[in-house]
Amino acid sequence: MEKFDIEKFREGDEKLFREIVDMYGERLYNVVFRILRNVDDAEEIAQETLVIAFMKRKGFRGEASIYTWLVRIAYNLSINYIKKRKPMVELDPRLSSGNNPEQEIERKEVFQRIDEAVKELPPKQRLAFTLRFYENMPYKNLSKVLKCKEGTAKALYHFAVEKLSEKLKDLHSIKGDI
Amino acid sequence: MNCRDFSNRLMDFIEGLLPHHEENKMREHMNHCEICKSKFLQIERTLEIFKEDSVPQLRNAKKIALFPLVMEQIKERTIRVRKKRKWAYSLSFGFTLILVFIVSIIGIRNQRKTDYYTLFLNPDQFVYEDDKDVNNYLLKSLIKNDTIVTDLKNAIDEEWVNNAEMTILINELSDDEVNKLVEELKNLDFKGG
Repeated sequence: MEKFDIEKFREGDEKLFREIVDMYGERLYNVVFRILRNVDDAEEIAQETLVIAFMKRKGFRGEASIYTWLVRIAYNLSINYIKKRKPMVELDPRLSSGNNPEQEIERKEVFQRIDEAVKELPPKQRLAFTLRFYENMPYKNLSKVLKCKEGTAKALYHFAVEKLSEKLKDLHSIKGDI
Repeated sequence: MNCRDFSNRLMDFIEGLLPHHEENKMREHMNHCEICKSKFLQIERTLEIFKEDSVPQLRNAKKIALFPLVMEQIKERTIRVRKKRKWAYSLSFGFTLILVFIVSIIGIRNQRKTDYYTLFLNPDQFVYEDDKDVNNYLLKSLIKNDTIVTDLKNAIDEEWVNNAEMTILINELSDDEVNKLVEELKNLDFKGG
């Protein structure tokens, strides 16, 4: 559980802000990557999130944790980014060149299918899935990030899982380590 | 438990959120319902796939440079915001000045209008402004007091007389007539327009 001095943060204490960046910078990047499925975009949005958070720090009232607040900013930025960006082809850094070529092709296919399936989810479901599945975020916090009721947050996660499961059902037959 | 109940509780079951007795009911249902069992397995396998879905690590250089980069951007934007604010302040100051100027002008004009209505009456020296409304009041009073001459009537018909004409007309009045007029004018509500 984070224990930041909210007032100090709101006053713009740089030392405290550095702690926040060190603690949450990479976590934010992970969340944003899982929403946008692109390394460069995720890096850019994670950085932008921290900039905006500092600039708008007076608006943080401490009703939710700083992390929840940061994720909310990151999510809003990601949504805007999705609306504006042009589709880009990126060399998938998850693929290493040292493996067996057949395995690599298989891995590539799996990652591509996962990326496609996630990108087809509506943004709220993407975020609900990311935060619940990977971060194990309680539904109460998830509802704060998504600005909805707990029941709605739960439903969003369930819908996301069901949709992903439907989209990827044929992947279950693909063997090999991903 | 029917298939609908099973479906409603499936995600909670997968997440391990169901009480023990309900978990048992779910398992029992799967033992005799292949459709629900395959749905459960499908979701479970999908989640297994996602467990393996890794995030490319944040580049080390980026990780180290993150805070300086963020601070640099914050400083740049702070300067930009200050410039914008400066502009906004200047604009609002200018706008306020213009507003004050306009209000003052309107005030002065209103003040002048009031002055027109506030006649300083002296039987020896009749002082008034050359204002159409005031002149008409004067003329009507003159008529009421039977002190009019034909020119005066014509002037009313034309709805306008100038200052000089009015002065001439008033000069022709006797002292009694002026006093009578002054009393009459005192009782008139000029502000009513």
